Amino acid sequence: MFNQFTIDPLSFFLYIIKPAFADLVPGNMPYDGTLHEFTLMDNVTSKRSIIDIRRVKNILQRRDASCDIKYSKVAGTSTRQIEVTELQAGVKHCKHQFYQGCLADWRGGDPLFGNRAIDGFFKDAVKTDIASNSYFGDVSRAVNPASEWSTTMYDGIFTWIKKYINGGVISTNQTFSIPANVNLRANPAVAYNIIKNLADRQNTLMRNMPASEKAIYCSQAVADGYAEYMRQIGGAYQIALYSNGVGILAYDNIAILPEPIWEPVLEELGGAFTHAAILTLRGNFVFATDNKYGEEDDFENPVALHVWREKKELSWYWQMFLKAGTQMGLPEHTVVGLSNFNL
Amino acid sequence: MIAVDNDALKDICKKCDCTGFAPALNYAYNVGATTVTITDASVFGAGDTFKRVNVEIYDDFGGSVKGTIAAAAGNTGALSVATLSPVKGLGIKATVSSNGGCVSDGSANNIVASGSLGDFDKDFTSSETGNVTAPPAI
Repeated sequence: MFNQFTIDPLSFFLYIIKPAFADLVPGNMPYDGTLHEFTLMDNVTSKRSIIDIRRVKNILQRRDASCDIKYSKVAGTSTRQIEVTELQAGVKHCKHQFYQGCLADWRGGDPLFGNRAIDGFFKDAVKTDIASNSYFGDVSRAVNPASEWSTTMYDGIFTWIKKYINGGVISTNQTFSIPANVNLRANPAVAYNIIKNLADRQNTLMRNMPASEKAIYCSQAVADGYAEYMRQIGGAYQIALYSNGVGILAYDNIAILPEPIWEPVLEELGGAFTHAAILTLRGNFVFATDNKYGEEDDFENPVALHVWREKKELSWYWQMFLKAGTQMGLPEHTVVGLSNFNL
Repeated sequence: MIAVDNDALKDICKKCDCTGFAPALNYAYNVGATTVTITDASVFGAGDTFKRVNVEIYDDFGGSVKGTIAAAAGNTGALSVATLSPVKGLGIKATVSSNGGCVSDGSANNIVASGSLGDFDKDFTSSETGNVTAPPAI
C-alpha cells in the first residue's frame, strides 16, 4: 500500500506516500465499485424513470351458471426515478510558488510533485468522494465544517434506504437497531447477532432466493466481530466461502463483504462505534452517470478531465466534470441494521 | 379493460419539475472583522418548505470555510474567514434544498461588501413525495 519515489543521487531522498482512504477504493474512473457490487448505468443524462411492474396471483375464478367472466388485472405498477447531478472538481498548481525555501534545491528535476503525481492524487480524491457519497451522500445534510469526508454532493444508498423506510417500501420488520456505543471487536457476540438478525428478517420472497444472489454489506467492525465470534466458537463451526481462491466470511452461504470506508465515515457522522449492515440482492445498488458529459476540449469534443498548463499564470490546471446519482433496484428486498437511523 | 394498472404511470412527466421554487441567498462581507454572513431569501412552491442551505466560502488558494442555514429566512451567523486569503477575491458556493426534494446550487465570485448569489442552476430534482411510494396493493 506504499508508493515510493526517489530522485537523482545528487539530492537523494526517499518519499513514502502514506496510505489514504483513496487506496481502499479500487477500480478505474469514473466508477468501479464495491463499488464493483454496484450496477452501473452510464447513460443517464438527467433522469430516467424506473417503472416497477409487479405480477399478481389470485386470478382463478369458480364458474357459475352464467356466461359472464370476471376479467382481472395481472400486474400493478409504480414509478420511481434515477437522477444524476452535475459535479465538478478542480486543482491548480504553480511550481514556482511551491519550490520556495529549502524546496528550491529540488526545483530542477523532482518527479514527486510534478504533474503526474498531482494527476494521480486528484483522481484518487475524486474516487474517494464518489465512494463516500455513493453510500452516505445526503444533499440536505447539515455540512460539518470539520468533516474529513465528502457526504453532501448527491444522495447515496443510505439516504435512499431512509426514504424507502419512511415511504413504507422497506417494511419495518426488515429493519433493526444495532446497540449504540458497542465495540464489536470486543463483543463478538453482538456482531454475530447483527449478522443473524439480517438473515432472520428477510421477507419470504427474499429468503427463497439463492444465497449466491444475495450479499451482506457491513462495516469492517461488524465483519471483524463476526470473524472473532467464529474463531471463539471453534473450527467445527467455521463457515467459509471461497471466491477466486480467497477465503471470505459468509452466513448460510451468503457472502459477507465488508466495505472499508464505512467505519470511518460512520464514525464521523454518528460518533465512535457507529455500525451498519445491509443484506440485499447483489447488484441492487445502482450508480448512474453520463459517459458523454464534460466540457469541450480544443476540438469541441466533450471531455470529462481537462489538464493543461496556463502560460500566463505559470500554473498547471486540472478540471474534472462528471454526473453522479444513485438508486436501488429492488429496495423492498433489503434488510438493514443501523446504530443510528438519522445519520 | 386494461391488463396492467396504469394509474401510477399517467402523470410521470408531471413530477419532473419544482415550479414555484425560487432560490435566493444574500451575503454580507465585513472586511474589517473578516466575517461573512449569508441569509436565506428563498421562495418555495405551494406545499413545499425550506430544509437546508449548505454554504462554502473559498479563496483562490485552496482554503475554504463551511456553514449551514437551518431555518427558513435564517442566516449562517457571522462565519469567520480570517483563515482565507482575500488577495484574489473570495467566492461563495451554496446548495439550497427543500423538504419536497427540490435542490439548487448557486454562487457568487469576487464578493464585495454585500450582494446576492446568482447563477442558480435550474436543474431541480423531482419532488420526493412523488418519487417514493409504497407499492400498490395487489
